[in-house]
Amino acid sequence: MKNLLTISKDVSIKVNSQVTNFLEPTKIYLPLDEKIEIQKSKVKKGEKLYSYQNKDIYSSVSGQIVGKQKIQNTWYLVIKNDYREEDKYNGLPDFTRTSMYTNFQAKITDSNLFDWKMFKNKTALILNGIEDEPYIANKTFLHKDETEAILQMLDCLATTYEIPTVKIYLKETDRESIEAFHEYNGTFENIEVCILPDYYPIGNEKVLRSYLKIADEAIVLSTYQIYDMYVNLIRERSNDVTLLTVTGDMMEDPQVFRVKKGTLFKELRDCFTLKEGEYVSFVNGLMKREKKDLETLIISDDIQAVYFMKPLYNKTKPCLHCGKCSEVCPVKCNPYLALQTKKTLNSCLQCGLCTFVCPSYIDVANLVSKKEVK
Amino acid sequence: MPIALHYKENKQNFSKLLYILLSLCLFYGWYKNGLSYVFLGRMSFSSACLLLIYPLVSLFINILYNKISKKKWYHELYEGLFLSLIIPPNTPYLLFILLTLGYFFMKKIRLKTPVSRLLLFKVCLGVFCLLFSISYENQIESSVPYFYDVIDLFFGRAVGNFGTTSILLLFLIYLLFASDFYYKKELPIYTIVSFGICAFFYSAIIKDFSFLSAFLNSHVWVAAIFFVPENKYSPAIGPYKNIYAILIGILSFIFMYLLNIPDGAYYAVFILELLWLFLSKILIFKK
Repeated sequence: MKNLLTISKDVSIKVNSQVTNFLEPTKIYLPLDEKIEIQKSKVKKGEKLYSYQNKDIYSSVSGQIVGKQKIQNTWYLVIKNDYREEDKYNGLPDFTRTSMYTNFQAKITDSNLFDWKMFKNKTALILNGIEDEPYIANKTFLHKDETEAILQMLDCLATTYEIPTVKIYLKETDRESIEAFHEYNGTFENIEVCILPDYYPIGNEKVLRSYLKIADEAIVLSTYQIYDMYVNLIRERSNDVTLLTVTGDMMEDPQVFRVKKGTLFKELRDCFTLKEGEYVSFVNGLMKREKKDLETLIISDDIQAVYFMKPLYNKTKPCLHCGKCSEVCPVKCNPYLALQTKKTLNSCLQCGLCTFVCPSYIDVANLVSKKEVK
Repeated sequence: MPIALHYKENKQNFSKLLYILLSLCLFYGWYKNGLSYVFLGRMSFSSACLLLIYPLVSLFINILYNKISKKKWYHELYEGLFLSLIIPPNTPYLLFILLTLGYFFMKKIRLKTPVSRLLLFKVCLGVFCLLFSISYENQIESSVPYFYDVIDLFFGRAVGNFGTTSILLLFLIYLLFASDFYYKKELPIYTIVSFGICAFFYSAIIKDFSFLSAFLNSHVWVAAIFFVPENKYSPAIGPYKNIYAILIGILSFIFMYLLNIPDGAYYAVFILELLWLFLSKILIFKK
């Protein structure tokens, strides 16, 4: 696919090779519908509280429900942590291979974690182990720390649904993940590790499918999904922690944090230092550049990274009509035409490649998507 | 929203290589139109040196422009250098000076032109040459019979602009330009190939027409490499830009070999740029 680009690495944006744990927030914030009334009672870690947008919400700490709070147009349930980590589980489940598979098969019928019908009649199971954005290292740490869990889950799915081919796709620059999976070489004979070039945005499922020419007979899952399945269905627990990359060229000590879901980002602020000077912050990637208020940012599955960057003060110039934005677009949605005709694009992936290549420093991605129409 | 990451290109070597290649074009032009005849005893050395007035004048005006614009004196001098390379070897000095001054004046006042400034310079020069019957032959070529074979044409012994007759050097410049991320590298290929196809079919019909001589005509290569891919004035997307380049190739052939206008390739680009100015409003902006 000629449209994909290799994004040269900026050496000033680094990620620490160790994960820093931040598992003791004072409060956690869990999204809920405004109408739901919750009693101010004690909750245990891992306790199912309610369903929100078809997802079961579990408490990631033990403590006391203190009330509801509206943050950025969303209502949240606030739980004050009592730091006791009391959970509802009675020891670890049976981890023998046979029981694991039997338990899994029994559990999937009740679980609404995934649309399990999608696994039926598939010929290949693909693990997308590539981050959707450069400078995010969460998947790498999951691969390193939970290699066996990921492989077991893949094996479990392949056995249950009789999927003959299982492939793990990693990018060539992700050496730590490659080494981690190679250590299990031969243990899971049906699982193949494949290396892809470091193109952007190959981590996006749609782009990966198109790059590998994967038909609908194959199912593509991300490392996060597989790990979530493993924790929920094999370990029989709720996945109450998430990884968060905090980096940028204004960071003194870029880090990857393991945090409780629902933690307020503000609480992490003491765990890292910023360089002196003006900075801009982005969430979830330097290419996608989501802008969120860090004072009220709540860490959930949707938040993968926070960046602190020196602002690039390149003044926007008039369009040069080079057409590069359309040329590099991985889904060929023609941002140049949309920009000229002031139309919005529904098929846009928001990968930010058009903005990245624009010689006039026009924020094409924002202008042509529904995100920020001017 | 501020931009966090941006595509970076190493332009340092690009400028250096461009200066080297344009200097080679200049020295080759001087050798071909002057020094080679000095060695053969057909021209005096002082007459050959007069040819260097063109680059010296254009470089001087370029430096003057840089000074007025408060830029470093050596900023983008290749522009002035290039102007002196794309003129007929017999261009009257006054005409060249006036056109060069006009070019930099337009640049200074940022005059919005319907076609690129460089093309406007070349077309104006071409029109004056047509009006005053100034040919692309140098002093000796216009007075003595000559014959250039295919190898001559490839290395640059040909009738054409002062410093851009060498297809080899033009090809090297194309390779350099093609290394630039924002250069529309496919357009010159489409133009040259479509021109070549026209020449091939024409040579099949007319027996005393040499396909290779036509294909190695430096005017087409100059137009295709320097003028056709001009970002602001050529189509930016998909089929339009390919059709645009192909049409220039075909039109160039019609002008040069059917209408006998030696620098017809520039007029072809001129017409297509103007045409695109109007067509783009219909095809793109009204979509």
